[in-house]
Amino acid sequence: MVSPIYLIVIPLAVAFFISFFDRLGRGLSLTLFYAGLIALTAISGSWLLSTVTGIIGSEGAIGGQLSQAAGTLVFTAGLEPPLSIALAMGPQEAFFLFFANLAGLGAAVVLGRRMAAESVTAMVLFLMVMLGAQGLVMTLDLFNLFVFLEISSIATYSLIALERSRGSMSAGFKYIIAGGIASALFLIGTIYLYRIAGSLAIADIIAAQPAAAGMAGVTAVFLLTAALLIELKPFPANGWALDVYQSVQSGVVSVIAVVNSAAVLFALYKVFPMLPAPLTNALLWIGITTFFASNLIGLRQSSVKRMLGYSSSAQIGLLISVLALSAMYGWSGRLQVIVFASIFFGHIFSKAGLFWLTEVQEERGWKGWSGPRAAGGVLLLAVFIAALAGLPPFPTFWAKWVLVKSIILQQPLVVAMLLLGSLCEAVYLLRWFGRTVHLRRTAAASWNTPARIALPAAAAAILLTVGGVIAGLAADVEPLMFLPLAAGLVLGLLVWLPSRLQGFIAAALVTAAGALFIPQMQGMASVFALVFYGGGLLMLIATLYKRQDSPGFYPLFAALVLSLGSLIQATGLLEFFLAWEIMTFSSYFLILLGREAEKPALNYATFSVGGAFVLMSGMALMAAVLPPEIFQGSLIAAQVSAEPLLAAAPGIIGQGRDVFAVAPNGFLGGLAFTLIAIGFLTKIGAAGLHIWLPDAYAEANDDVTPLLSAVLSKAGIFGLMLFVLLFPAALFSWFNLPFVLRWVGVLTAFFGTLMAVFEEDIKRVFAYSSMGQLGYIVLAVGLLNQLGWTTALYLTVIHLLFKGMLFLTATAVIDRTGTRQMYRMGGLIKNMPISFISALIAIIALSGVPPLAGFGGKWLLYNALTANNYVLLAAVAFFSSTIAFLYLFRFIYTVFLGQLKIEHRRVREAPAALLLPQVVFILALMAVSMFPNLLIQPLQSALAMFPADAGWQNGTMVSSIGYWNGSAVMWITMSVFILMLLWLLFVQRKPQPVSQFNIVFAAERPERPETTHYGYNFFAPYRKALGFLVTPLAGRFWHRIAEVTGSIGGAARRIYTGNGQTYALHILLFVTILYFLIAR
Amino acid sequence: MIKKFFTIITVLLFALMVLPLLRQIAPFEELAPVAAAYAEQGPDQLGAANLVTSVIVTYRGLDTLGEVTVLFIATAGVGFLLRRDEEDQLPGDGVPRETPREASELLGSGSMLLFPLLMLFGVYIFLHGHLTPGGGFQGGVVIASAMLLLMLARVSFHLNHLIISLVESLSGFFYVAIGVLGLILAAGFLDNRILPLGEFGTLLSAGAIPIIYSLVGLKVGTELTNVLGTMRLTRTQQEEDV
Amino acid sequence: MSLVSFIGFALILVGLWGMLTRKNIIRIIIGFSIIDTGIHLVMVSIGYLPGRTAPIINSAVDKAQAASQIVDPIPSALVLTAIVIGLAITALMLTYAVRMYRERTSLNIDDYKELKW
Repeated sequence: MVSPIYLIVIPLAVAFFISFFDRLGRGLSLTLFYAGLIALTAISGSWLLSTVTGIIGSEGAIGGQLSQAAGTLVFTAGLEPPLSIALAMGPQEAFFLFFANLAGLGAAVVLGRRMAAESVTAMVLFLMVMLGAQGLVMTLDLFNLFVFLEISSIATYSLIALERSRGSMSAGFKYIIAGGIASALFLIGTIYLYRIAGSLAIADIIAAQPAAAGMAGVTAVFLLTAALLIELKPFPANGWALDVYQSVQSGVVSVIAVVNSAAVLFALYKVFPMLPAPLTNALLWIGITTFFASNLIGLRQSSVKRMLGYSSSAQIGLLISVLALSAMYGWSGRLQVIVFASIFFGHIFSKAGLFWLTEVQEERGWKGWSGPRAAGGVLLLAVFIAALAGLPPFPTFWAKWVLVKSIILQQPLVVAMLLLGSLCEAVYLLRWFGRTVHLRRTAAASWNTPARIALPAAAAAILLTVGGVIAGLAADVEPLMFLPLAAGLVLGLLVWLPSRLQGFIAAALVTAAGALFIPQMQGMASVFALVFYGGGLLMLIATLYKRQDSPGFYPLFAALVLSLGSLIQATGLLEFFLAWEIMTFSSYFLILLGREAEKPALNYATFSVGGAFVLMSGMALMAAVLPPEIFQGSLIAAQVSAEPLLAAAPGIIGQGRDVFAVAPNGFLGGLAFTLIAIGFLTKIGAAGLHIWLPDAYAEANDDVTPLLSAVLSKAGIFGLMLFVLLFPAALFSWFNLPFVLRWVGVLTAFFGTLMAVFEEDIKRVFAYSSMGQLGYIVLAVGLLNQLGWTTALYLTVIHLLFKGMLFLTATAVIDRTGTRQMYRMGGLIKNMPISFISALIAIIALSGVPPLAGFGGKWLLYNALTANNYVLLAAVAFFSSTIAFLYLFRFIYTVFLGQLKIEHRRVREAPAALLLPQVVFILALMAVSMFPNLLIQPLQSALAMFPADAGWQNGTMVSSIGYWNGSAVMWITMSVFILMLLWLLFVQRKPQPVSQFNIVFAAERPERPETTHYGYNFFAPYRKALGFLVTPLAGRFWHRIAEVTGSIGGAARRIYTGNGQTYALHILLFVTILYFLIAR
Repeated sequence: MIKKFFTIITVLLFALMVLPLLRQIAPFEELAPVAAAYAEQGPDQLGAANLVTSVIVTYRGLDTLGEVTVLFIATAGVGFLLRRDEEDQLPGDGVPRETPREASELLGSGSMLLFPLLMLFGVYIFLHGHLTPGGGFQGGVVIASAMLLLMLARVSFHLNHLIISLVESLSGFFYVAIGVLGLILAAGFLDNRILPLGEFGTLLSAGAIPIIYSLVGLKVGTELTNVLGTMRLTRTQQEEDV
Repeated sequence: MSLVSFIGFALILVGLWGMLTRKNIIRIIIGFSIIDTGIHLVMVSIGYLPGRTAPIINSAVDKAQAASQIVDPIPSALVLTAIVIGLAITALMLTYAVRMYRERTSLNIDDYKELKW
């Protein structure tokens, strides 16, 4: 192994001599410069490799103290400390250095062009920044730490001058002032620590426990910590850093944000053991406050770089609080590695990557930041943003999960701030991304990503992905759970293939996965697997009707469908959440592909991410309050049959409130379940949480919406049912959650249906209709008995069938007519007969009249409700389903019946790819309508954990209040219809065909088409009566929340006045107040 | 006004914060263990009479290397910051300047007389750093002040940047090289015992310390000269250089 | 408490005051220099032992009993480093001041706040 001292020697030797090589030629000096950086990376990398393998070999703990067994110590001057200065190279040092050096190398490549154009001094300064980082990480001597801190700072101050840009000089001056204050504090602290401990070796000082030696010791330690803290940009003493991030050249900023921060963070980590407990505690709160506040203010930023600066500041804050937490709770080993290392790793590469990508367009606000031209550039941007926002499979995702799970009981407030901050961060990052995608599509002003940026950025993206997968595997996630991502990746690599061929490959993948996994499943799991894989496959086939022009379409589609399958296969909470998040972000990106989808997709993402965080905190809380053995493979067990759990708490389900007595964990368990339920209800679009839904469904591409409505929305239902089976006791342990669930369900059904009535946009009608139908399912789930759950599963399946048909019809109609407004259509029955038949069957099924399967759903539901005496619920449900007639009737009437528009005379039948899935749905629906026991009996046997409350007699279903024979109903209804048809044919033997367009217009044609269409504002009278019910109260509420959040962020950032002197005052006030807080 | 108030509060709080340091910490009664070890073993171990020098050059040699580096970076940084490009507008741009008057006879001769003496003094200081108070930094500063004298006294004085930076680079490079030699020939990086320790208290003693200190002196002297030179450069001279 | 460290801290406070109240950038830099000087005094005061001599083995100090006759050499070494680093920072600050003056022909710190929020 090469001695770590060469990490110091090489940059120095190169820097001292490079100017002479420069006189021989710029190429030579550049080569030398890169050779030096590569040597640094290689040496630290080789140490990382050897220390990590050393640890794995010795089965030891990662994360021991400063002098580890694995690794080495370098004594300068050949004398042991404290006589001389020693350097350490252990696994942690190697980890930090290797990745910091790698990021530095990337930044140097990005800056290559500027380096070559500028004087050789730029290279020297860059090398010195790297040198500072090496020393900061390796040195074991406090004063030596100071020297390297100054090397790194002074080199950075100078490097800021690399490019002349507005304000960079004054920002740099503010930076020097902040750095100067930090140095002063550091020196005072250091010299007094020397006085107290009699040594400058950090280990000796820790051993002397200066903080225990009275106020002077506490003060000295405090000053030292405060100095390092200032360099780490804590809120609100970080105004200078934001100015630097905003104004300085992006490549240099990436070094400041990544290399310098990482090194100082490691320095802080080294002095952590000497901190007194109150200071550790204070660091926790400073860190998390910085995270929260910076992200909050980030919401208000318009400059991309300043926004990234806030994000940077936030991430470092998070890392500080994680350091404090691991000191407070004595974390070590895997826990520390997963949490701290993952956040660190995720931060440096995503932040570096983003700053590199912004290098092309300096000084732009995100509103004008037209994205990279090549799809690869957009992909890179997506990877970095996803990694920063903590989406899977990137490292931060695992870290946040483990972090939340570990501290939710002890530090609930920290968790809340962490999740709220993360939500803000995700919102502004995704808003920026959405804007970029949108601008790229509309404006021609997108830019090419030069190779000097693309190469390091791609390397960073690959590292993030690989690192994330490794972290995931280290967290004991089954490799199988990465299948959706792998499928997305494979299809992503095949984007050069023709679009339809990609579609076939995606379909083949989904088919293969379904064929492989469905047979392994039993009970409820197989029902949902059929819905997810089968429905997903059919929707995938439907997308083949046209060429997809977005390269990401099929990768995302396949990942989405497979992630739904993964939900079922999950064997633990983390795996479930992983699948949930993959589903969330793949659907977000898919929605974003829509032409006008920028804002709806952002709304969807906001609610999805927010819902996911609520879900995550609920699951983490549940995991924290329940004994761990419950979780051993229990997700699978629960899907097959909940018997083990029910045996533990017999008779819980279906017996109402008396389970209070057996609830194991009272309030916390109930709270956990409530949070989980809210998470799922957000995805379902329950009333109040639904405002993302209509826009997202409407503005997603027409071939995506069917999947969202018919298939994806069932994920929430699945989750809800699964967790009810998993934690039945928790349902009642705080309050009567099922009661609330039932009412939420029925109100969702009511309002969804009602709002559908007043829509003109065909997709919005069905979007609200979807919401209403899912409301019924939630209501049924809330019944908690066999009949109710049979209803829920039954509705899940047939909603897939009829809503699939409706949305596919809508897709076809929109494709053929080019509009979504129903009043622009009409009389399409002759042009699109098969679509008409499909739509007709679907609306009969949806409305719940005999003879089709919808009736069965309604029959089951009212049976279940009345059997439990939920009369009021039944009444509201019944009322809502009558309202559904209104919009259904209007749809078929406005679109297919009446006058054909002139411009639609040549409209043809829907493409075969759209019709094929509909035919499958029709066949399935007819079969189920004819023989309901085909579906209901398997469902009932899947729900064997409930006491049976409805039986079968030869295809007739018998419940306590009646019986239903699907075949008989079908035969009778059909005979009635046939009789009437015959009669009609008899009385109208000679119908006279009338040509449709032989009307002469009497006057001018009005300009606005809606005023001439009978279908426009069709239900105006009803709106007069019921309109007050559809006042968008929920929308206003959430809008208000967003406004208030934004203005708090806006008010908070007012403290950043821009004056360097005021910033100095901030820093000093921050430090002194902090001192008196901890030194009470 | 409100800012003034906060400033007063801040300075007061700061004073209160450092008060425990002032009140509770008394000077050492005895040398700290490390310092005592230096005093007891130092002379024999490293052979330097000036213990501060042995601490600076060998025991805490890494600090000193860093310190030289800091100065080096500052030199580079000052040059880098003050480099000119086209967009730069100086306040006096476009206004013709009167040619500065040459130094008077007295000043010219006096500075020429002093210059070699100052140089010699500087070299003396860093060569004897291991024996008497002083060393590379102090010697380097004296050398730089000799150069400053020339710059101030003689308008036409032209700094030869090539030689200056050659000396600077070479001395820095050899400093690092000697450090690495310590790693190879002696016990560790920057170990001065690559050369015989010699007779205690004489000029040729203390192993590599005089060499290191000479290199430091040269480096510091040239670096400071460079900083001064860069800051002195007037517009016209800079253009001439380019 | 020693007189030297007291003076050191007093200088630090004076420097702080100057840095926080003066508007002229050059004066702010001077404030920093005063803080630096104060810190150096404090550092030196830590290494001082009453009644002892400089840590140089010569006629005044017996080599065998050096440990009981000399002051602590370490703070002297540290303060040298600190001085050099302070010098470097001051040089850079002044250079920044030159650059800022070139950009806007002003040395008032209040004129440099176009970046904020």
